[in-house]
Amino acid sequence: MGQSVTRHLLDICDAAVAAAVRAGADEAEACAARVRTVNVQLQKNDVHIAKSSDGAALGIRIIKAGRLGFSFLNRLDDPSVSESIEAALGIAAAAPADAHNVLPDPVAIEYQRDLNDPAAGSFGVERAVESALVMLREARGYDARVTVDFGEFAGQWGERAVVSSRGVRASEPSSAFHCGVLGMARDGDKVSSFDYQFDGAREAARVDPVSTARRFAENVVNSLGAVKGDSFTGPVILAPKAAAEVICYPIEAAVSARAVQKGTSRFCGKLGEPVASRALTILDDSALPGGLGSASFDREGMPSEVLPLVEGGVLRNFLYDAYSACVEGRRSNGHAGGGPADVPYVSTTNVVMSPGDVSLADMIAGIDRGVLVTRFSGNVDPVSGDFSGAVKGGRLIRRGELAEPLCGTMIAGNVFDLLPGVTAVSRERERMLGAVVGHVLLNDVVVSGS
Amino acid sequence: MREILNGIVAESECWLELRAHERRALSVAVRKGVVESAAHRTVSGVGARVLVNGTWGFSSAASFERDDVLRAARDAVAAAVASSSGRLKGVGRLQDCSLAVGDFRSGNAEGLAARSTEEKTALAVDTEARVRASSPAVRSAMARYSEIVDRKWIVSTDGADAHLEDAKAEFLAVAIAGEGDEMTTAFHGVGVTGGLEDLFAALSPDGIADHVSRIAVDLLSAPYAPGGEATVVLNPELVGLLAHEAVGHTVEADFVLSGSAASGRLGQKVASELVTLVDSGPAVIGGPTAGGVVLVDDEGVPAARTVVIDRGVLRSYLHDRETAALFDVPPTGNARAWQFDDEPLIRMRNTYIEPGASSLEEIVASVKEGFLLRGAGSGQADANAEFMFGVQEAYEIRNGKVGRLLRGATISGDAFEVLKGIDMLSSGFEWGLGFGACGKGQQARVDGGGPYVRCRVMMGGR
Repeated sequence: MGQSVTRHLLDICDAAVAAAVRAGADEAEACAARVRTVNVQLQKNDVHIAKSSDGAALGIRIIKAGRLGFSFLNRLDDPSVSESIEAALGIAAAAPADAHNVLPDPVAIEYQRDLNDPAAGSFGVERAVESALVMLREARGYDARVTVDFGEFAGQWGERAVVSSRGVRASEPSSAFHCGVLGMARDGDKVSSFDYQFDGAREAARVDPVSTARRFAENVVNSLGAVKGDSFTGPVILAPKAAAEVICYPIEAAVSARAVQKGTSRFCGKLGEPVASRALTILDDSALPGGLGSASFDREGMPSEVLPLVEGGVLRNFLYDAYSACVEGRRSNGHAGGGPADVPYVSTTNVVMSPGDVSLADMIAGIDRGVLVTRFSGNVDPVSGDFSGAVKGGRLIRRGELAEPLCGTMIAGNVFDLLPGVTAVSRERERMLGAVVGHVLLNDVVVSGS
Repeated sequence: MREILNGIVAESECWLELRAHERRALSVAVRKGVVESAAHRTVSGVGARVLVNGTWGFSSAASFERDDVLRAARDAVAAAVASSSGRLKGVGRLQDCSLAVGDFRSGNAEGLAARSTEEKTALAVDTEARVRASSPAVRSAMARYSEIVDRKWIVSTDGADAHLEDAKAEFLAVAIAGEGDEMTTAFHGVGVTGGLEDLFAALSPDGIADHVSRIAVDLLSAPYAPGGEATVVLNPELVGLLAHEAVGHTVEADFVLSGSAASGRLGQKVASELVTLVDSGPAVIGGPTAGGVVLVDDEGVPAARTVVIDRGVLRSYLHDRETAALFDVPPTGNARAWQFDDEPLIRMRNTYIEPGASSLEEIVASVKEGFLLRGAGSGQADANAEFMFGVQEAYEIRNGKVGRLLRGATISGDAFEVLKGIDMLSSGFEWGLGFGACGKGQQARVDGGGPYVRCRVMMGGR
């Protein structure tokens, strides 16, 4: 998108902020986006639907006498914006005052350069169909028993802007492309576990539908003929997607300053203390090249600092937005999340797990009896850290080798209690949407089978 | 609006469906005494779906202006044409049926509008404060009120011409109790197609606050549930989750065509003969306030009461007009779109198991060793009917008596095997899934429920 369009979006935000202040707000912030979306979906092993649309979004946050009001609309015309401002003021009038409702002061932004695919404007339905079909053919060609229930190749690009009455004024273009494939394998009466694989990138050309489809097909075929395993307590390897859900998700929740302040973080009072084994290092990296969580500024227009969360097992940082920073009388470190439709909340950007020094193969070779969890389907309570769920596409590990696929097997534990027992992180890592995660070896996990 | 849409549809050279949708939503979320989010959101526009060369095309306009809607319709045609060369097998036809014409209303939009934002904010503020005040062991709490009010116009080249109004409200309270590093969470959510009176018909806001704080505190001292196969009594909320998540998704015809566990099993016995499982748009059982009420679906098809399993035998899948034509059955009114810029997908509405003849007391008394399970955590299920649900409260049953509370329980199994093992159902009925949304690429408001049932499942715990 051209510079003129970006300026126009800033102009719209300027006007909305000025109108909100004129209408009586003490402070106002406008967050807007314009996005073009192209999406081709697969269903039942065929092309299902092609979609293209242009969308707009404007979120208006106002503060009046310490009271917070917020409104969102998907139109940018003046009458609609005026009506939305009145709605935000009406909400604020009904809300109790809170001295920590503040907007941040502007901070100089160093703009990242690789957030936008310069060729995005020429991405059309034809290209999305072509890429989706490549994915479908690769998955079906791998094995005739593979069936694709749903798949898609999609791109969206545009720009976003944040303007506030405090002087924040930021905008940038960005793009994101992704493919995904979901389905199973069926062999007579045998139905495999479901699997979902995806890939995402800033540039359309960097999305890899072939390897995505191959990973999916391998997983569903390998989980055919699964058997129920035994019950035992022992080592479990969480593959990257499972590790992201079981390990990273509760850590992300626990490093939110808002959670710490509300007393719902297990990391409360533990800054600088060990919370995990030395094998675990996790970074929040808003500048990860190509990362889909990368951005030059957060939802409030603040640059996001690159921060170690857990470094060699030691808790290093909490993440702040303007509200939580105000509670502690400090500055935001740029981790306000959400889009124009959201009241800002604390969020990570890209969660990056540092690689370990052991290969997955060596990890498996070192286990006499354990389980490899490809996908975890269950509950993770980010507050307590308790998790319990079914092993999907899992494999038994017997005498250092991958053995039969598992079904009807569950794992349970408390992730915060298990973190000191993280024995290893694999050298290999998988890039996900907004995360880079390795295989994680946990000890003493309760495995329930037959 | 109707005139604009009908005018464009009348000039269309291909099958065209236009759906104008205006959604006004309010939500107020309070956490530990702080209004974290109080928001009004308006999302409106027109979705245009076409069928060209046997291929679907879709586009949308965030506007009700004629020129913008016309442009969206043309973009949808262009998208369909561009993708049709990649389609292996085209959509043959859409099933003929009597499409909805007229005005349809559900919920209580006027009732919601008559209650002030101040009152709705106070509802969340007061409930959250009550949860925290209930016990020194409660560390944090959250309460959220939200409502959505929809107006839609659905017009198509083959005769749909419907105007719909719908209003749904929901309320959630969460308690987090703690002692040292130990923390436990309890929540209770309700969602209705209706007004505030309907929302709190079963339990008042204070009652909800007291319930979640008591459960969160009790869970702190509760031992972990054991793992292994067990006889359990599921409460209506968990029965609704089983009906929706583990069975319902496998009978959505798009999943069936992809080879779900229900594929090819029409006419077969898939459950105990005590089990009749229904997915209903109007949801007449238990009154018209179930959280997933749909009178007309987003293809303009009147939403039917669909008996999926009749006394143990699989009788019907859930269809849109495309899959109904493939199976040569009437469409069931299950095509739903979340917002104007979403295309209709096959989704459930209110999915439930019909009540039986036993009392809850009789069912519990019949269990020598097992568990009474109440309250659904998050649930997930595969198309092969394997499911896994979190359970908030698990109570031991020994020799027909309910005993101590256990925490950390999950249940899993093959849904159809579980249905085959259902041998007792209570005579009462409750909805329990009206809060939150079902996700399938898009959100959908659904509900689920049933009686208490006795069955065998795999318990997960420690």
